[in-house]
Amino acid sequence: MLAFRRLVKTDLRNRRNTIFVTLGTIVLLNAVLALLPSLFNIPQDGLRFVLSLNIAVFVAVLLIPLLNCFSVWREEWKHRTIYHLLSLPVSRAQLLLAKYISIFVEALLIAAIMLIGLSIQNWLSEGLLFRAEPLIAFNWSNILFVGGLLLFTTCLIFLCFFSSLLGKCFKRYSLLMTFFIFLVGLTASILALSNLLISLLLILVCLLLFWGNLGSFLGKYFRKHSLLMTFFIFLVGLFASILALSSNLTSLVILLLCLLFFGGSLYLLERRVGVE
Amino acid sequence: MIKVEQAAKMFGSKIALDDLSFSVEAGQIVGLVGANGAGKSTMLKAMAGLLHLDRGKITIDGKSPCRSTRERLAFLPDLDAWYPWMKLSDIMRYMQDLYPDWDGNKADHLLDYFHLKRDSLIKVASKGTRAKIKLLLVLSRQAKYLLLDEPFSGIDPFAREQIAHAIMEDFLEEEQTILIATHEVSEVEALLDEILFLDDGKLLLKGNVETLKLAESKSLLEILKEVYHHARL
Repeated sequence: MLAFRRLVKTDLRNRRNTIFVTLGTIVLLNAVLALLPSLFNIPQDGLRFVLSLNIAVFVAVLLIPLLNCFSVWREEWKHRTIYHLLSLPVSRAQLLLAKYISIFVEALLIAAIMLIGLSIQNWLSEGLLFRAEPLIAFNWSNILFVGGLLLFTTCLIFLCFFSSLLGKCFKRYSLLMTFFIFLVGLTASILALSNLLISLLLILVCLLLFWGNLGSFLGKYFRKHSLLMTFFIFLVGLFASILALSSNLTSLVILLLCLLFFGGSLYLLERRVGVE
Repeated sequence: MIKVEQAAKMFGSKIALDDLSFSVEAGQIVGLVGANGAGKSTMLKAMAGLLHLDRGKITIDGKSPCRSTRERLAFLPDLDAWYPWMKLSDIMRYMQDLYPDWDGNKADHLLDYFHLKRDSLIKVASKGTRAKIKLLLVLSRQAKYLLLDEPFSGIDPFAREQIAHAIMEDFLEEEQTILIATHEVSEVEALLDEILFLDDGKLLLKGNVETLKLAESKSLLEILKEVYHHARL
């Protein structure tokens, strides 16, 4: 666990400056947006424009952790630290999970600061702007929504990892291939969500293809890797809660996509990518 | 024991390893010697699990490169592989947390021996200092196998002597198996028990250094030159 903590800390430290600059920028933008209505005497019906600006800022800042999902692996090659990373006496799954957690923490920090900013703006505008209470309030539909969002974020992060690692297998146009694989993966995921039953079958087939004998692989792996097991239980738990609440297959498909991209990344790290 | 069986690796159309087979017994200092591009670094990287062979097999104490073999290996790459923000103290903390066999006392001893400062930023350090730092990080582990890729490259003669002495001291203390990849034969000649001479990914010569020198009544460099020219012809 000490090794894993160190990996997460190192990943967060690698992007410390980016995180601080991003958070600082969000605070500044929120301050500007909060002062905008009073500075320019924007009427109540004009606040919709401020709200649109807020949404645009939110989406733009969330693109930063998304881009970091790609750079987090590419930087290892750029700084040649991949030499060290791949020779560490830790499982490749730990490497993946450490990077996943650091990205997740970054995205959560950004979302938290943004939500605080929006709430302050709402308070200053006397309840006429974004209201965070419905999202923060504890009820099952909110838990379902937030859970689904977390699961989707996890899926997206692992898709980015998978694209980056598969892109590294191409000696030429590696970056372009990464982008292409990401687009294909994203399209496939969206299609999977609109054709649930067929995609469920396809994903299961892909998972089995990745590991040959998935059952024995997971059994063997989980006995040795308690951390991976914890993560797996977390995902299954998240999925089970959502499934229990929503009784639909969407979350199952997202969960399987998560496992597919995670498994694919793990396979690439174990058997394909390396240094030259 | 490290066993390499018919190892083959290509980078594009370039053959890096060409059906290479040999074994390294425990408790020896072995030189992996050859000209630039002979396949020395590729061999060490494959042993360390950093790249995958196209064909063939490498086993370390009977196991293919995996997590448990990585625990037994300490690899010193020929380039600097650290994050730009890292100071020596950061790296030492990182190593301490990630390697269960990290020996803090030994690290402190080597810190004094190499006259290194904990708060020195690696990316601005001189080449010699960076070489010493890399060696400190490898020797401070009580790993069974040390894989050193060009430990003397670009280092001044004084630092070379210091580095060679540190390697030897470590070997005498812990009887590790040390594999040194280098093209600077004269620098390592005195250290080596065995030699593996590579050229274009092929093994041209393997043997005990002293036995080879006695049998041929020549220096190691002369023997290697002869083998090299013979292979080229």
